[in-house]
Amino acid sequence: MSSVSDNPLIVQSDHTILAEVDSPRYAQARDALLGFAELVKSPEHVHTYRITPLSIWNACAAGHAADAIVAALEEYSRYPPPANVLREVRDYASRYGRLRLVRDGDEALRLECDDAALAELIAGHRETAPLLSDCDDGKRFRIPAADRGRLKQALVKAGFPAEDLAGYTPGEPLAVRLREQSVQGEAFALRAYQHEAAEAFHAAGGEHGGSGVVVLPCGAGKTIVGMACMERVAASTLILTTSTTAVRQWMGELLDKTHLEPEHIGEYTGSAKDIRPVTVATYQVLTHRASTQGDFTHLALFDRRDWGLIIYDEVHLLPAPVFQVTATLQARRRLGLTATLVREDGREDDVFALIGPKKADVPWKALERQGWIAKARCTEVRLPLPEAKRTEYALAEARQQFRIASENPAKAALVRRILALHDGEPALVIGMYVEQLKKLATALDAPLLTGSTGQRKRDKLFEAFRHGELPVLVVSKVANFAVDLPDASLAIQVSGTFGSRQEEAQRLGRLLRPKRNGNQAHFYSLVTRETREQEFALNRQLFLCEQGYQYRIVDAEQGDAALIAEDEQTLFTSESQV
Amino acid sequence: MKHLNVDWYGLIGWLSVWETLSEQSKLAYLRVKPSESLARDIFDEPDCQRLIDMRLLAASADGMKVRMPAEAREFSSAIRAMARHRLDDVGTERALVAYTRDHLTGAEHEALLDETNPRSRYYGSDNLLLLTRKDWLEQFLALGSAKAARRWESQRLPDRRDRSRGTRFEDGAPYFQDEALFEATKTLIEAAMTWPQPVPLTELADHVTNVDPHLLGRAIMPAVRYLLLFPRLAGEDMTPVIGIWPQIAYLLHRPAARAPKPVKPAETFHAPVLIEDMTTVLVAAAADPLRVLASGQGLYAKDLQRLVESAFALPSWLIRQAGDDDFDPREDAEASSDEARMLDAVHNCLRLKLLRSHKGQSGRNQLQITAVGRDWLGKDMRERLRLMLEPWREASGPEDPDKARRHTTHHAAMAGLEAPWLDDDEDDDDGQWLDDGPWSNGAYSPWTPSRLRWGGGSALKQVDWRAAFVDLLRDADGAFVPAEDLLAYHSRVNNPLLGRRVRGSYGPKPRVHMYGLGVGEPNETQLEKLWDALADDMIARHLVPLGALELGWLNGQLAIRLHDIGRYILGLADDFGYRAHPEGAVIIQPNFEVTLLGPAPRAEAIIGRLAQRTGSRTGTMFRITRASVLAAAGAGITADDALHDLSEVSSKPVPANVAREVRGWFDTTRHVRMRQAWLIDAGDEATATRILAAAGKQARQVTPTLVEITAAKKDHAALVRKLKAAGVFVR
Repeated sequence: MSSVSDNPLIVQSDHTILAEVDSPRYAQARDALLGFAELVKSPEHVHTYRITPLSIWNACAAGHAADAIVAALEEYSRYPPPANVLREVRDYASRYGRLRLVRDGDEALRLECDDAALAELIAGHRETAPLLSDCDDGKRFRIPAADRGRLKQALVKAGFPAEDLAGYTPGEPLAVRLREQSVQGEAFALRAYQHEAAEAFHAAGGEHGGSGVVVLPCGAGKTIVGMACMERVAASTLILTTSTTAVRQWMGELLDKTHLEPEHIGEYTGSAKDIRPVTVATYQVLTHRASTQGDFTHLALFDRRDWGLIIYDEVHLLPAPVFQVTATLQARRRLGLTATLVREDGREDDVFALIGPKKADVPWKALERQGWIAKARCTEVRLPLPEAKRTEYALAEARQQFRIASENPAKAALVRRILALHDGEPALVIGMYVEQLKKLATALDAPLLTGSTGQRKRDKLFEAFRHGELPVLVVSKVANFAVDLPDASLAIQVSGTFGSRQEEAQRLGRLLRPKRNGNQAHFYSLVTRETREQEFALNRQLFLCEQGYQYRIVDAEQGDAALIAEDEQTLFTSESQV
Repeated sequence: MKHLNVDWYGLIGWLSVWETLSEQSKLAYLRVKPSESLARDIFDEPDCQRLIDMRLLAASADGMKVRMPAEAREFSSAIRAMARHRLDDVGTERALVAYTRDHLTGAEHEALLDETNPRSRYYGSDNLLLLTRKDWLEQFLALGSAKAARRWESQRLPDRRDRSRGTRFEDGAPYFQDEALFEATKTLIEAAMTWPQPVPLTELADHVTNVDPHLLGRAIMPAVRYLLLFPRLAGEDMTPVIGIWPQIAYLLHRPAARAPKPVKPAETFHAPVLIEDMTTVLVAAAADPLRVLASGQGLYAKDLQRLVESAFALPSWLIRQAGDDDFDPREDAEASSDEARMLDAVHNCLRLKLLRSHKGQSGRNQLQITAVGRDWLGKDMRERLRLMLEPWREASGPEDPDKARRHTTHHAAMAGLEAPWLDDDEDDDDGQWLDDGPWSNGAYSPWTPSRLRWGGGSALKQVDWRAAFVDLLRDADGAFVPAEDLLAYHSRVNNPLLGRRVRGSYGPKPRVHMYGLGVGEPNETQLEKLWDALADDMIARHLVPLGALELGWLNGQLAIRLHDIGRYILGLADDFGYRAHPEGAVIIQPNFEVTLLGPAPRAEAIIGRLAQRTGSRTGTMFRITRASVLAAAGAGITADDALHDLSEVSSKPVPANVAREVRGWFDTTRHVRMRQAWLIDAGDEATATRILAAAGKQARQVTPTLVEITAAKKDHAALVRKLKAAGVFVR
C-alpha cells in the first residue's frame, strides 16, 4: 500500500472519507470534497465525509462528472482509494441523467430513458411501476403532470434519479429589489458566497435551475440568500419557516433589506391568516388539523395564490405532510435553506427529489476565517452539588437525580460570575426548568421568556435585547429555534438534556452572527460534577466537538482566570498538567 | 502367468485374421466365452464365416449359433486378456495393479516383487511402482551374461525348491537357461525402448529385424512374464500391440523441457502478508485475548471474525487463485480463506512466543500477547520483516537435525527473546496448535519440505533445499514467469528428488507421503509431480506470505517474480529493499475518537487496551468511552499510565477535555475485595455478645446483631459445639 503522505484524504471502503485538517493540501481537498461528499463530522483534526448516492447525484446535478470525482479522490488521497468506492462512484454517477423529465403539452410530462433496458427496469420496479403505465416506444413514458413529484420520489428510491427539465410556472409577477442600504441605515450588499448561491439556484432562469437547496452554516445569512433568489425569480413567494418568531424575523428582514412595502407581505400563522404576494407561514400552521384524523385545512395555502417561488427555511425540518404537498408543487420553483442536509428522520432523499439538488454549500471554517460568522468557544463548567443536596440526590430516582443536579442552586452564583466576566456582552441564560429560570431571572433581575410568554411580549423583549436595552435574557427551550438575536454573544446553559443534533446546532447558531466588538462568542454549559447531569453533558460535548467547536472543561473552583483561559493553556500535554 | 501363457509366434499368425475383422465382429468375438453359445448374427456374417473357416469359432448344428472351439481357447483367452487392460497413454498406477492381479498368480506376484522388497513378503505391492520406472528395464538390460540372467530370473520365480529340481512352470519359466532366448529378449526390450508408442504385434518382426521371427515370438513370453513388455489392444480398431509401460515410454520420448517465457502481467501484487497478518493478530490480542475453542483447534468464531475483518486485503484475483486447488496443494479449499490465513498467523505467533496460551477467568484457554510480542509489535515493519527473514537466510546447505536446532536458537534470538522459546512452559497449551510446517519436529528448518515424509530420510539429508529453490527461482529473477510453467520445467530439469531412493522404512504406511500421494517407491513421473507440488507449496505457504515473490495475473494465469526479499533469503543479495511505511499518525480527537492516518500497529495495540474499537487498519478505529476506560482500570491500568500511553502514541496533544474525562473516569473506580464469610445472625445484641464471648478470637462483630466467624472452616464444628455448650444453638 503506497502512500502520498502530504495528501489529506483517506478514502475508506465503507465510503467514508477522512480529511486531515493539518495537511497542507487540506483546503483544496475540502473544496473538492464539498462537491460530491457530505460532511458527517468535523472535530478538530480529522473531518469525516461520506459519499452516498445522493451526494453523487447532487454533484452530477451541479455538473461534476464521475471522472472528475474519481480524479479528485485519487489526487488528494493518501492511499489508493478502494476500488469498490471508485466503482460505485462511477455507478452512482452513471445513473444520474439517464432519465429526463420533460414537458409534453400542458397537462402531461414525458419521462425519457436512454436505453430500453433501463426503461424496462423502471417499468417493472415496485416503486415506479404504478406511475409508468403509458409507454410510447419502450423508452418514453407519458405521465400526468400531477405525478411529477411522486415519480421523482419513486425514481430516487429506485436508484435512478430523473433530471427534471420540465420547467416551472412563472407565477404571479412581483418585483423584489434588494436595498443597498437597509432601512435601519446600514450598508447592505450580498456577500460573494450569497451571490453565488443565488446565481446557482436561479441558473439564469433556465430549466437546470429553479429548484434546489442552499446549505449555509448558522449565522451565514440564509435569509439574505432567500431574498436574493426572490429578486431573481421576481414572482410572488411563499416562505415557510419554523415558528412565528421566525416568521416575524423574515418579515422584518424583507422590509429592512428589500423595497417591498408592508402591504406586499403577509403573515400566515396561528394568530394571523394574511395572504399577500409574499406570504410567510409556519410549518406548524400548515400541518395543523383539528383532530388526528382530520384534514390539514391550511395546506390549501399552497393553492391560494399563483406562487412563483416557495422557500423552505430550515428544510431539514420539513414535516412529512409538507413533503406530500410539495410533491404536487413541482411546477413551482422551490428553494430549500438549511445548515445541514442531514435529517433526523433520514428523508434526505425526499429533500433531493422534491425540493431539489444541493446548489451551494459553503464551508463553515471558510466563513469563520473571512469573519462572516463568529468564532464560538464552548466551555463546560463543573461545580459540586452542595452538601445539603447530596443525600436528597443519592436517594432520588434517576430522573429526579438529573433534575436535582440540573437545578443545583450553586449555579446562580456561577451565572453571575460568568456574566461579570463578560460584562457588557448581550447574554442569554438558557434552561429547561421554569422554576429554576424564574429564580435565576429574579436573582439576575432579568426578564424571563418561556413558552407561555405571549408573542407580543416576546417581540418586545427581543426588540429591547436587540437594541441593547436588555443585557440579559433568561429563556426556556422556546429560544432554541429561529430566535435570531444578532447581538447575542454569550449563552449560558444552566440545565437541559442533550436534544437532537439540530436543536443543539440551532442553540449555538444563535451566537454565530458576526459581533460588533470582536468576533468571539461564548457558550457556557453549567454541569453539576459527578452526577447524572455530567453523564448527559458528555453527549453535548461529543456533538459540539464533532461540529468542530472548541470545547473546554473547567471546574468552577478554578477561579475566573480558568473560566476565560485561552485554549492553549488547557490542552493536555502531560499528566502533570491535568 | 494366467492368460498370456501362449505361443506368441502362433498367436501373431492368428492375429492376421483378427485384423481383418470389422469392429463389430471383434467386439462380438470378445463376448464369446468357452461355455456359451451366442447368436451368429452378432457378427458381421463374412467375418463370422471366416472365423468358422479358420476354426476360431464353431457353428451350431442349425448354423444359427456359434461357440468357442477348444482349439481356439488359447487365442481367445489371450485376446480377451489384452482387451481387459487397454492401458491409457500414460498408464496409471491403478492400471498396473489391475494388470498384475489379472495376469499373475498370487505366488508369481509375490515372488516378482520379493526382490524389490526382500525383507517383506506382505507389503511388497507398495513397490509395484518400481516396475513403472525406467530402472526396471535398464536393470534387465544390464544383465551381462546368461548366468546373470538366470540368477535374476530365479529370484523372480515363486518357489526355489521347484526350481532346484529343474521343474518348469506351466508358462515355460525359467526361460533364460536358453541363452539365445535371453539375448533375443534383451534385443526385443532394447528395441521396445526406442518406440514412442507400442507397435502392432503383427508388425513386430519388422521392428526387430535382427532376431529370427520364431525366436522373437518366444522372447515375448519372458518379456510379458516379467512385466518388461505389456501386450494390449489399442485404439478403436482394437489392434493388438506390445510395448513397454506407457509411463516409461512417455518419459523416454516426451519433448524436451522448455524454460518458461517471461510475461507482462496485467495486475501485480506484493506484500509480506504473513507479517501483516501476524501484526493483525497481535494487535487484536493486545486489546483482548483471543478465545480458544474448547477443542483447542481454533478460535471462537467472533474472535476469528474480528481478525478477518482487520485482515490485510488481497486482490480478488489472488483470492480466487488461492482457492484453486491446482495452485494451493492443501486439500482443504477453505485453507485459502482469510480465516485460514489468520490461523496461520496465530500459529506463527505461538511458535515465536509472541502469543501464549493461558487460562482466562472463565477457565477457558485464551491467547494473550507476550512481552516479546509487544516488543515485536513495537518494531517497525521492515525490522519485523527482517527478523522473520533471518532464519530463512541463515538456513543454507543440506539440512540436518543439528543444523535445524541451531536455527531454532537463532530464531529465538531474532525474536528478541531472552529465554529459548523451546523451553517447556507449564502454562502453555500450544501443542494442539502444532502441525507440520517449517518447525517440523520442534526444529526450525525453513527450507526443508516438512510436509514430505520420505522413508528413512537419509536420501534427502544431502539435499540442499535452499540451493534447489535458488535454481528454481533464478528463472523468475528479473521478469515475471508463469508459475505453472516454471514449476513444470524445474520438476524435470532441476528436481532434487529425482534419482533418490527410498530406503530403510517398512511397514503398512507408504514411505513417501505428501498431499494425499502415498507410495512406496515413486517413479519419475511421481517425483516430478511431488517436486512440483512441494515447490508450489513452498511458494504459496511461505515465500509469497513472506513477500519473497511478487505475484502477477494475466489471462487467468498466475505469474511470479523474485522480489528483493526473495533474493535476500536465498542468499543472492546482502540486503533487501523494502520500503516499509512509517507508522501512521495517530490523532486523538476532542470527540474521543482515535483516528489512525495510516497503519500503526504499535499504537493500535496500546490504544486497544484503553478504547473501544470501531474500525480496522486505518481511519477512525477507536472511541474512548467510559466503559472502555473502566475496563482498562479493571485490568490494572492506572490513569497516569493511560494518559501517558495516549500522549505517547498521539501525534497531537491529547485534547484537554479528553484527558480530563479519562482521568475523571479512572478516579471514579475503586478496587475492592470480595470474600466468602460465615455470619451468625444473633437476632439481638445480647445474644451477639454471648457468641463473641464464647467464640473469643474465632469471631468478630460486624453489626450489633451480626457476628462473623473468622475461624477456619475445619474448626467450625468445634465452634458450634462450643456455642452449644454456651447455650447458643446454631441452625
